[in-house]
Amino acid sequence: MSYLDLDNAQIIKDIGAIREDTRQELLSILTSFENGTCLILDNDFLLPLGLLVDKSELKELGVGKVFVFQDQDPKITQKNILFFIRPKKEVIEKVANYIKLNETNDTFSKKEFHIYFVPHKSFLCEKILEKQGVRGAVTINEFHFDLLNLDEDVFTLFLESSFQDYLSGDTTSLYFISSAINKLQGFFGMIPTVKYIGKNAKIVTDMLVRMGKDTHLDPSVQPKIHNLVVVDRMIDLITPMMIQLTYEGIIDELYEITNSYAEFEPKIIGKEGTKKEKYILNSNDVLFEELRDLNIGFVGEFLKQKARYIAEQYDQRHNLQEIRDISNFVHKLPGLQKEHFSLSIHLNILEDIFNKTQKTQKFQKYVNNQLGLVFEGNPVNEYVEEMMYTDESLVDVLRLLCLQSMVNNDFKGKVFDNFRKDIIQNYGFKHIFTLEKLAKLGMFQKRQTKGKGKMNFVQMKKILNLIDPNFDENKGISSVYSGYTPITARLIQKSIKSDGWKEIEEVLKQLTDGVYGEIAQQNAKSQNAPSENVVVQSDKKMVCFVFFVGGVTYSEISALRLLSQMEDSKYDFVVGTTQMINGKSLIESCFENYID
Amino acid sequence: MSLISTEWTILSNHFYRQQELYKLDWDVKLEDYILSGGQYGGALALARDETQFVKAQTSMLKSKVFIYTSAGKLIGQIDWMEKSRILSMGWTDNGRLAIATEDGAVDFYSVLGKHVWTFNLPKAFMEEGILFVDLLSNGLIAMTKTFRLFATNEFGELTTPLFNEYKMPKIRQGPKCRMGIEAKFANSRNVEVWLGLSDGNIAVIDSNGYEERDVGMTEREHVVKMALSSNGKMVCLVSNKGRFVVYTSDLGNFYLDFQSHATRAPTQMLWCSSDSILSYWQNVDLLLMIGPTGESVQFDYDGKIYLVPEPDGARVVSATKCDFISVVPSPLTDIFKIGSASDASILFDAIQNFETKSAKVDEIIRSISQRGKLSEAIKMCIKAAAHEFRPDLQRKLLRTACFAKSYLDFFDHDSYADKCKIIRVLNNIRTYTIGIPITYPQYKLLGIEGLIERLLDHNQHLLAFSICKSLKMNTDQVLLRWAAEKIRTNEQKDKILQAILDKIGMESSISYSRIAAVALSEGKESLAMELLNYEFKVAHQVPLFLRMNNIDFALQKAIQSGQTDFIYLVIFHLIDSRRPINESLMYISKFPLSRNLLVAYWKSSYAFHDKLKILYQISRLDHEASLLCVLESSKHFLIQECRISAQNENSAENPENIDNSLAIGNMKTRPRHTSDLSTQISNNLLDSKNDPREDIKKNSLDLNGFIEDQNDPSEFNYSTNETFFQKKLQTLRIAALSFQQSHDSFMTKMVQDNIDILQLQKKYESDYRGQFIGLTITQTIDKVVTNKDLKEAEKLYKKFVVPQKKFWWIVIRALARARHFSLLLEFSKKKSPIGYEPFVQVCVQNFAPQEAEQFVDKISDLYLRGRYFARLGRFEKAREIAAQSKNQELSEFISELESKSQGNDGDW
Repeated sequence: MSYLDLDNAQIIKDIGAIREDTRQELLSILTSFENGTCLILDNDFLLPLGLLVDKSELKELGVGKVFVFQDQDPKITQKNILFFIRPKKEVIEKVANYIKLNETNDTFSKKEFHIYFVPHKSFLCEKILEKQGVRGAVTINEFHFDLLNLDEDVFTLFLESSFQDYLSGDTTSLYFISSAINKLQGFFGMIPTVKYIGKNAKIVTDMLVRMGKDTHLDPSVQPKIHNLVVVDRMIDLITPMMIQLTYEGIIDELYEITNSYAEFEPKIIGKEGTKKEKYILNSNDVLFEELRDLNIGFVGEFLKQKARYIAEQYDQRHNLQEIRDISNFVHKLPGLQKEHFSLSIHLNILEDIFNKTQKTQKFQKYVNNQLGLVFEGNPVNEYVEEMMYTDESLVDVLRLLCLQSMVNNDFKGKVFDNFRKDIIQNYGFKHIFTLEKLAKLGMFQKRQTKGKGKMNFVQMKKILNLIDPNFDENKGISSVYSGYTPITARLIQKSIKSDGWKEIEEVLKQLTDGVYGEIAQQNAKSQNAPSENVVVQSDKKMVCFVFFVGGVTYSEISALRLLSQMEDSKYDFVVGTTQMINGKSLIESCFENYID
Repeated sequence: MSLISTEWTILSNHFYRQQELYKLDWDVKLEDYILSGGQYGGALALARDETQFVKAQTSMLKSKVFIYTSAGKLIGQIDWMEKSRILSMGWTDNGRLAIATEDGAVDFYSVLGKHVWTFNLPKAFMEEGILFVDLLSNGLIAMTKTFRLFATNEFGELTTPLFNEYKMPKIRQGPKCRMGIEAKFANSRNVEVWLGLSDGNIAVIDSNGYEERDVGMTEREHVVKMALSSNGKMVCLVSNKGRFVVYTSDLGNFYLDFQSHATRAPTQMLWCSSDSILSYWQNVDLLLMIGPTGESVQFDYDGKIYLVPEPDGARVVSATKCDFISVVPSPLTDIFKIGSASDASILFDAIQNFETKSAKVDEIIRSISQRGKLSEAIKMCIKAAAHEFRPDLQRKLLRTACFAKSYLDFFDHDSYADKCKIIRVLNNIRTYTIGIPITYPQYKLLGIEGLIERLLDHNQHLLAFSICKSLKMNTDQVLLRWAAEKIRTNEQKDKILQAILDKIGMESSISYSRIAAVALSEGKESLAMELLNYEFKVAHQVPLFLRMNNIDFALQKAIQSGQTDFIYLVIFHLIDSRRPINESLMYISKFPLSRNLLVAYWKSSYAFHDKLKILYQISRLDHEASLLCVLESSKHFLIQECRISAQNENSAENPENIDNSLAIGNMKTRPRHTSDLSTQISNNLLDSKNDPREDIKKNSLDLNGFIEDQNDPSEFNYSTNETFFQKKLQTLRIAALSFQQSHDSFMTKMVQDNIDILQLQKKYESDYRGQFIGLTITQTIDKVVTNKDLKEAEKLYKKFVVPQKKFWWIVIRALARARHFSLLLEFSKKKSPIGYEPFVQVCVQNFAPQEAEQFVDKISDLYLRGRYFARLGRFEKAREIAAQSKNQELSEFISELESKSQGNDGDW
């Protein structure tokens, strides 16, 4: 099984080409220095860089050492110091300080400093370097490492702080998104239709269309991506607050997945030792590919059947009669063993998940409260108070409170203030800022006396048909949250249907403040060509690229995969995102850098 | 057959040719001028030789620098009336004329004589006078009259280059001669300077040092002229005794020692490509070529000549003609050398004969073909055509190739066609009207882009355009330069605009903003505005609107573009300008996007906060302003603030400043490292373990890591530094006041609570042991309880209106953790609002099952009581209760638990 139609599988190869492109760029940067280099990286880059080149390659390329910014006072002996950093002011100030410190120091004399901004340089950073008086001491370059594919159908721009940035009004990285999508167009041809939902999505789309006009794509290339939907995370902050209940989602909630890796106790993944070990979770693991989108409730049964199947397969060895049978069996064996190994690991993981979630009532209670809230609108005030008595984590508390605020039409003044006070007393004064930001996002706020005809969540869930407690295995995308359909997934489903938006116009307007729309892109040189591509390929599935500005959860991606597996689906989905998020990381990105 | 080879000169087995490129009818008396010619068939700049001319008055008025093509066509004039004396002229790599003058300026002109820009030599030259300035192709060397040597290897564009002063020992006497070696030929990758010293040695100087080398001069002999070969590998030195000595350029190997009859230093001496030397003595009208093995040959010229070095030879400019002397390229010798039996030669002759009706040609071609040499021979003919200047001969060679290639099964016809196109291009450029006598090897070095650039410099837009079209090259650059030239004309605005639109249109990817920029720099603002309308990339309009000082438009377009780079461009344009800050901020606050960006930038640094507050005020963001005040009470901002006021204090001469900083800061920062605090490293900043419940890994630490942390002094510790602590309270008070003014009672209360708890924490730190500052209110209560002061805890509970249940939880957890079980028991005597299960739980959690039992009895619900007993392993008691309450479910639970192993405490 693969997520994509066979014809569309070509995209995967091209994704490989993108990676190779980036890799070559890195190699040519590194080989341009003669006397040995030392890399200093933004904290987030270590893993992604590791996906491009490995250690021994770096050594061959004359890279003596690699540091990240957290390392204390690195002793550097190499002549060339290369900074691979995001164009952000906090980072560039650190770099400027570093250069100032090491320029004056005699032992560091003769060092050369080179800054490589990833993926693009910024005017602000150059300005800061100038103001700090070190502009002359560095060379400024770009390393266009923007797209990282987490899986065959998922790209990330690994802009881990993008949500935080948008919240503070810094929309610099929107440009990176547009140019990354434009880069994709270079490989896949110009995408004929682009839809955007939400303000930041519109900015991205506008820039993309302008860029498209400027880059001359080969007009003879048939577009391999037929539809682009750009979704602004800000339009649906409800979904990330929900605990993800797919297999992959729950692993993310409990173990935190970073760049496809999660950390487990060594015995879970069949290793020795006491230190937690990384384990990769992607579609190379065939079993995981089948499991990841399943609701956690079905995983046990599925694994049981799988185990039985594998056992049966093994058992065949007893009644192999003809040579051909034996040879067939031997042929199957390696795959079988691989699957067997993978099965044992996932059984371990599942057991660990159950240990974490079922042994105590806590998790179950939390999820039940959450679902009760979203399904029926049952308030969780008392439950949250109890959580605070026993000092449950602030993130869990806020997740539930935000959810209640968003689905139950906000809090009454008194209740709101009491919660705020309790949170500050219990979790610290600095969360005064967290609460401010959540209010600004409309996630946790005081009920306005008579909202301006705002539609409430009850109406919205009806129109969008969000709740389906009788979800079924593999059927209905609501299974990813045990009965709740992610708003984003529903909107995307409607977006790719002709006239789909009309049915939900009211909701769309409300969610986006009226900022949504569609743009037909045409290659400047192929304007005369009839745009019949859409008609021609009626029997073949088309590809829809969905980009989430500000992050997406694993379960939302699962929802899209399930969507494409539905019978009447005409689309395969490829997902792009600024970063992977969950409720925890989203809430944490509202924390302010305040030191008591 | 051809007699072409009879024009060649043979020297040490090499063939040389002296081709006449152009006849000159320019009526210039070369004796009166100094001349400098550009490489690659570049133009000739002529300036009056003032050492030759003394009739000052009248000539000074007419003083000009003339620029001619090599064909003698005047293309530019530079008025030199009021400028100071020319010291040196030269052409740069990118075809600009550089002129160094006595006043220390170096001016750059286009090939048409338009001034481009100017920079000045370092100050030392003004003070000490200029001994010499030598212009190189992308740099210069210069010496002051006190023998200080400077060099630069990068002219750059419009920025004053960086000069290196080369260290050298004091010399008494000026050098006899000098030579600058381009950075690309020097080991140090910097310009290298050679000086001929009066003792006969050569000083080799670069940025790494100074070295004197013995070059075998005899007594009273010294070097008077030096020249580097065009590949940088050989060097020729001429002595005052007329001796020519050739070395490798590292002076390592000696090659040739040639004694001429000259008694004077040659007027000009240079390498003709890399294997022979041309030397010219004006006084005897002698141009001598010295070959690799010391043979020499003489060329005849009347009157003064100038030699212009080329990579593959030398141009000779005389009053009547422009010649080119060079080695004959090998494809030509291969075919035309007398007695040549090469395949190409045979092929060429055969086809010439065929044209004169000889039938043997087929046989000859087949025989070459059979030997497998035909392809090679054809290529040789094509190459020869490329190297040849005369169209008739080119045609013959190409026809040969064309005829013969039909005998081949496989031949790269495209490369043949391409070569033909190039030959056509070169022929076009060499015509009298254009006058650029570029050779094929020069063209290879310059590249087609470089060539197009040269044509554009000559304003030959149409030719450049046709060349681009014929070679299928992008024409953007040509059109752009054309448009720029069009704008510079005096035509009407509308006409210019229309002409540009007609030619460039809308489909092209040419950026209209670049065209508009030209219009703007020509002072045609309204034209620029109209042109800008055609720029579809909104962002590119921004810089131009800024140049026009049209802030509204600039900002609007920047916002529209969505690219923050351009918004920042406008923002910095505004805040770095001399405008009043309020006015700038008014503009910026018009759009949330620009405002937010500036806020994001300013927020992170305390130094900007004053300005940020003005911005908030202008934007009426009172709430945000108040929040900023709160933020300033964060430790890292307090530190920043203290540092800034300390700096002000140190730098302030007038006492007023200090007063100010005190008024704002209300504290005097101590000089660093005075106190004994260094031992107290435990500052909150680094001690994240303070707060075990906070599972935030990614908090503030990352942001401050790496560099800043290292110089974070431990003196900034609330616990030990009273003034620092007061500073925090003061900042918070300002914040509280600010919220109060905007009638935000909740926030006022929260900030006030924080002030109160901080003060209490300070007190507790002296009352009890341990660190309190930085704890939350509940943690504080917890710690007070841990210190057994339940009374004080009660006070806190009331003061901060902690929910009752919460308070009970805090107390019992704290007591259990500190194992104050007697206190816990006492506390339990009050009526618990949370029941008694939590008591049991906290005891169990702290491994006190016996104590837990005391509380199980207090649980009113019998079923629960029974369960707890069972879990604690007191099955008999549990069963008792089960019997009492006749609860079947409970009994089952108990038996189930009992039957299990009793190892575990069970799950709570």
